[in-house]
Amino acid sequence: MSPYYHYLFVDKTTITTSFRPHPELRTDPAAFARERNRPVLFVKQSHARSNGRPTWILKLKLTNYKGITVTLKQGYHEPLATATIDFNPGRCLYGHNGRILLLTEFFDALGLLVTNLRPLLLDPDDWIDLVPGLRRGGPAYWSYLEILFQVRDPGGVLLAQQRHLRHPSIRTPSRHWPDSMDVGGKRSKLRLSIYRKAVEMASRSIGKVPLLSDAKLAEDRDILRLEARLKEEKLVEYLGNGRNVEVIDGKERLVWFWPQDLVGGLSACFSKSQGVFSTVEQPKDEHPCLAALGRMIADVASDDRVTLTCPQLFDLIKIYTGAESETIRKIRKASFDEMSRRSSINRDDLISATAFAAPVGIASEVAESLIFHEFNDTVAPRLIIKIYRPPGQPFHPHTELPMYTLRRNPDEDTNHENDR
Amino acid sequence: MTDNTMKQAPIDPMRYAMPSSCELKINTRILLHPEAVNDPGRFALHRSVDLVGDVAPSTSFKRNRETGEKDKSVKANIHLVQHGAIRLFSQRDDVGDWIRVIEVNPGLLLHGDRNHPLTEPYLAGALSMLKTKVAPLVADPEDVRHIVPGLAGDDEHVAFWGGIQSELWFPDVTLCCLHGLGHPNIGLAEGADKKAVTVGRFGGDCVIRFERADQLVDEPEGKRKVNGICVKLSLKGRDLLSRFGRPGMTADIREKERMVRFRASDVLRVHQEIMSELVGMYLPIPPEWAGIGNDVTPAKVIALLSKLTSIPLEELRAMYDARSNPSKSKRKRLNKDVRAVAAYLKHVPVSSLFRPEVYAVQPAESSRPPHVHIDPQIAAAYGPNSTSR
Repeated sequence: MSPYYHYLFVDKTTITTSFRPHPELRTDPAAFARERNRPVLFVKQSHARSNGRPTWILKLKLTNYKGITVTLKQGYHEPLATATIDFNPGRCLYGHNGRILLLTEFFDALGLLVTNLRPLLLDPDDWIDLVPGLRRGGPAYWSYLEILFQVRDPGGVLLAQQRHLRHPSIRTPSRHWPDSMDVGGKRSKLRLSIYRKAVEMASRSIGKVPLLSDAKLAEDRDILRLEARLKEEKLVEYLGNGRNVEVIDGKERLVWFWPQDLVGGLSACFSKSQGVFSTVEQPKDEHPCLAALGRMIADVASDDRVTLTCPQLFDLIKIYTGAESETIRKIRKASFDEMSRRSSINRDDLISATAFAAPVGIASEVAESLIFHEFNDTVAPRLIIKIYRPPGQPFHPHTELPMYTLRRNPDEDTNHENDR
Repeated sequence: MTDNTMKQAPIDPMRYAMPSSCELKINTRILLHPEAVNDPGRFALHRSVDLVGDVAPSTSFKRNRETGEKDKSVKANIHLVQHGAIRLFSQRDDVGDWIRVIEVNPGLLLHGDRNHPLTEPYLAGALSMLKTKVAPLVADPEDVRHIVPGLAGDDEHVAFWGGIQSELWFPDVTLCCLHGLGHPNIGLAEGADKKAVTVGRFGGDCVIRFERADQLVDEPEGKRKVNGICVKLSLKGRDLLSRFGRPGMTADIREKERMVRFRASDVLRVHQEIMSELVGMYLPIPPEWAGIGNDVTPAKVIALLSKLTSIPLEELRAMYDARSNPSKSKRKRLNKDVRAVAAYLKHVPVSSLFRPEVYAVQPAESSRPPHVHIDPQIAAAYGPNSTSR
């Protein structure tokens, strides 16, 4: 694969950090945030006890719907507040997350993040602790990333095959809906989410207008999104490369990443899937009787009349027969080998450098027409670009101003919070 | 018991239902006392309001498309008695803060415990207590009649029942043995996991959720842990009206027909009615299988897959033969084994489990309400001798 990618395949991210909040933020956060002329959507202040100590909690939603959400927690006499920043670069820039962002657009989004959060700090120079990786020994790190990949799946073959997916690191059974599936539970450190992105977008609306028109939905209905959702140590496992990991609060944390780290991490996550990608070699049968049974179960799972997936059939066989895990493991191995043998999906074709070089995104005219950012607000500090731009990355020219810096409907609202 | 009698024994895992919980939602519009908004803690102390925890208002901003100005919206949740017993949702406008939604859990409110069947006296007791607890927060004493629906005059209704959620526990039923669940008016279950299966989409007018639930049950030898399922039914909007609405119990509120009264006995009736309409099958784990051969055998797998997929046994056997290429004698033996193990796998339609008799058998002692002064207006509208009968 090429070492350089112009796109940054992230959706929702979470940054965990700590900083000294502005004291006026505690007296009247809504008034303070509005005074600083920031696009505040939502403010909630509360008090609770955390680890036995009285704690001040503040939740702020900034920019646009699900763009930036900050949750601050601060002990009553402590100078630092811990901050959890849910940051969705795509939603920040475009008001939706159907597009695949260019690396330069990711910098713009980080610029917006710094512009919007800097006024909340006691010392504006502390902005360096808002974005992980900018200060060695700093408190900021990436604690959650959704890495995505979108591909056209015209006949639904890929989604149908993914339904039989089994991941060795995930024990929670998959959940299925007509146009989507989730592998892994809510608390899992690694989750895979696979869904028809255009269908999901069309089900959402701003006011009463769907994000996608019927014509746009018909055009992009076949776009399938494969998403790996990684938390904490799984980020280090899949994206860590020795240089981008630091020990913070006694644990190894991911502090920065380059596009190729994301591509590598996503490929590694999906490559471990069993029963999805085609294999050429025919594995040896160590247990002929159990292997025959396993292959027969694969035949049943592949039958058009059957709605249950291969992993679901195994869960039920285990429940009804009370079989030992070792026996089930042997049968399941034969079954998943057979599913892979039958599969027409080549992993190297699907997750290829070519596919990552020209990904398919989905634009939403409705959401994007409501977005406007001052150009200066999107300019990321040089340090961010220095850290997050791989050295030697080929120049990718911008031939026009980004859409989000062009004012189109100045009277329109950017707060979609109450429309959903 | 002989093999023969075992084969003929009907599948009857449901012996009784135990009402676990009931949550009621009221939509209304009552102005809150301004002092209760400015300093809830102090107000609660002075007026003996049973306030729980902090009141933490949230502020959101949305541009008004007509004026172009950013409208500020302040909302808050106020919890009374204990978390989950009474929740008031308030919203601010130019006049003040209005209670828009009241959620009440009668069991938690009266007993501090969710698991209580909702009888008429019990409902009347819970609503009386609700009225007593919320009344001190109301700015205008005239508005107290808008706390509980159905207490205002015919043309003066403001409050109405916005949603009813009833939850029943069925012992000895295994969640993973329910297959192909669905409801003709809602659709098939989607997104099932090991712990729960949901029929209906989140936020829909009718949502049925089956959850794996173990409970401690009193037995002569002491408490025993019993496996079971909890079946939660959430109704609102049109479905609520069509299932609960009876003549004289609805009223036009802001040009829409709304439910202003309901009968407590209808909660169980509607639950049973909707469950008896379910599609899908219940296929219990045959205990006899434990004594037949190895734990997992081709015969057991073939028999099970045939039940789960509706593919005929013969076809599955042929599929296995194609994979294993058995000798004549092995094939003969497999045919015999498949027939033998398949005989123990018996299913019933899910709808047949939820019979009226199951709902009729309930532990009696928990249905008695504690001593609570019953408001005469509430007794007239919701009590055992209510005029709405």
